[in-house]
Amino acid sequence: MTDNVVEILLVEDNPNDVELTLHTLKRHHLAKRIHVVGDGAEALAFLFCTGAYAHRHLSHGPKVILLDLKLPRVDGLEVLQRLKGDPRTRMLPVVVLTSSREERDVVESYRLGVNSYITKPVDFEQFTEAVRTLGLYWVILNQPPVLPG
Amino acid sequence: MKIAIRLSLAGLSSVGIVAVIGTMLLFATQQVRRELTKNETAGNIFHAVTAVRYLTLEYVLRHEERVQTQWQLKHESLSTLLAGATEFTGSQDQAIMDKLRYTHEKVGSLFLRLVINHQERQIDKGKDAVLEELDSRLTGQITNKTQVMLSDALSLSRQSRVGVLEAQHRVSVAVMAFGGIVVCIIVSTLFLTLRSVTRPLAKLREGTAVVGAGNLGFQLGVTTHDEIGELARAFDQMTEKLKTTTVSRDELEQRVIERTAQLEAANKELEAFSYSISHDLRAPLRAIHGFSRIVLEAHAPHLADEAQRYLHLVCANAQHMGQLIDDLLTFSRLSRQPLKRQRVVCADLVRQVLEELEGEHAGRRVDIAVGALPLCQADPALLKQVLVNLCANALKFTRQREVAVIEIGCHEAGGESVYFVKDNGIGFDMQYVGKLFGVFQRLHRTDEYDGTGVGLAIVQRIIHRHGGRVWAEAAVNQGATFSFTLGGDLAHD
Repeated sequence: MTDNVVEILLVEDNPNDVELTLHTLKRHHLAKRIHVVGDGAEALAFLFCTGAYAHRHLSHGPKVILLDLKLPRVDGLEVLQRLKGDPRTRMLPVVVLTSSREERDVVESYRLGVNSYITKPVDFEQFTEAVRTLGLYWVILNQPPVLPG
Repeated sequence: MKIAIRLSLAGLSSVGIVAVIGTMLLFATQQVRRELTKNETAGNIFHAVTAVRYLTLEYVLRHEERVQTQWQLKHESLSTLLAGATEFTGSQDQAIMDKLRYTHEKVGSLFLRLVINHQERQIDKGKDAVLEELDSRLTGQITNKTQVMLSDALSLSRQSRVGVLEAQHRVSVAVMAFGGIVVCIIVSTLFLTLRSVTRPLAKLREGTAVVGAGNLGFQLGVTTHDEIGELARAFDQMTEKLKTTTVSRDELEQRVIERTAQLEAANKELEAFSYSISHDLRAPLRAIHGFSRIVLEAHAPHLADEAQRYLHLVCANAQHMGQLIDDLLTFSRLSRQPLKRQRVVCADLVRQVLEELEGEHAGRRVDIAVGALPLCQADPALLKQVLVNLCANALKFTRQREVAVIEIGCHEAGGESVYFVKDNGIGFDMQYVGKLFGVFQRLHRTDEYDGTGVGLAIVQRIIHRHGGRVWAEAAVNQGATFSFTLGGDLAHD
């Protein structure tokens, strides 16, 4: 896994969810170039190529960001706001993948410009299906924009 | 002094003065009448004296017995007249009257001597020249005396006319003076009263405007003791009371604001709580279910059948708990969500619900009859949830029937529409009906009929939020009927 050219950035603090997500993506051969960060601050450092990720180049942005909302340090909604508020990262597709089914989280995410909102089901079959579908769509089918940079 | 007292005093004094004027007029009239009587008597005296004078001259010319008799009769009637004239009470009048009586006596004795003289001339013709001389002297004296009497009578008459004029003058002066006083009293009372009314009234009007504009600290401060003063003080008291009640209303509002803030804080805490449940409780469940599934899928060959069965049970329970959490969240969200009441075509809603539930009874014989359903005022999303829960229950509890018969309809009762969902399922014992709508209350064993025990609690909460009622009638193995109303437009939200 190289962090230089990454297809999926998974922002998730729960190691169980990380493992289940990776398991699913691997099983469907979608996890070739995936990078995992455990909190919002690290996600921002990765995406804006600062701190530990200063060597990265902005134009090597991921094809899709899978973003949990409840995160340590900087929460998911703030990460979303920063990404969509910056012209360099505004066009990156962001999919919120969260346990929250709260209406206000859904509304706020869309207001900030999220591309998709997926609730993580408790049922593993449903969860697998959701992750497989969104991986297939955003990594294989979707045509990503050419990023400036 | 009070205005009413002031006005009645002015009225009373005016009436008193008018009475005085009336009395004076009465006295004056009586005086005028007296003077007129005097004047008449004076006239009579004048005429009688004139007659006596003429009769004297006639007697002197003719010396007839008849004239002498007439003279004496006239003289006597004049005596009676003078004696009876008691109305002349003034000292001047009395002096004149005394003089008249005296002269009258004199005239009488002079005439007597004239008569004797005439008789002597008849007897003694030789003394005729002397007697004739005496005759003419006596006649001259009588003429002079009667002339004096005439002028006295005239002066009496003049006196009485003067008396009339004086009486008239006195009355007119008195009427003018007292009338002037009455007018003065009325005018000054009116002026003072108007002044003591109009000024405070203007102040009162100004005060009403000020207080009406919301300045409750305003006081009129009118100190007079009349009715207007009382009104002004009542106004000030009213403003003062208004001020205290307004202050307490402000306090109440403040308290309401504080309570609302506390409630909002509590509500926020509850929301945070359910948010945590939604997020944090589901994550471990997903891990339990996920890893169990992975073990079952990837490592099944290495596991004993018993171990596999247990893992399936772990998965089933995790799923069930996930469902419980979801139902509880739906239930708690119902209280926070605002009610969006609008016109709902119930028949369309029922059709949608039945279409969505078709998958649940695939392969079963189900006979569903939908009766006439009127339009209603309700929150369509919430009403749909009610219908979904009731219809799903009906389908669930008729599972053992060869032909499930479900009827959805509406009838009028007590002026309101009663909607119902009736089935021929296993029903329940009516002695447990009180538990039916409680959260997590179940009347059937989980291994017979799945479910979380929240569905009917959700139904009840939605119906209560609409201001309606929900109830059930059933018997064991004889089906169940769930009925509900939707309340009026004034239902609490």
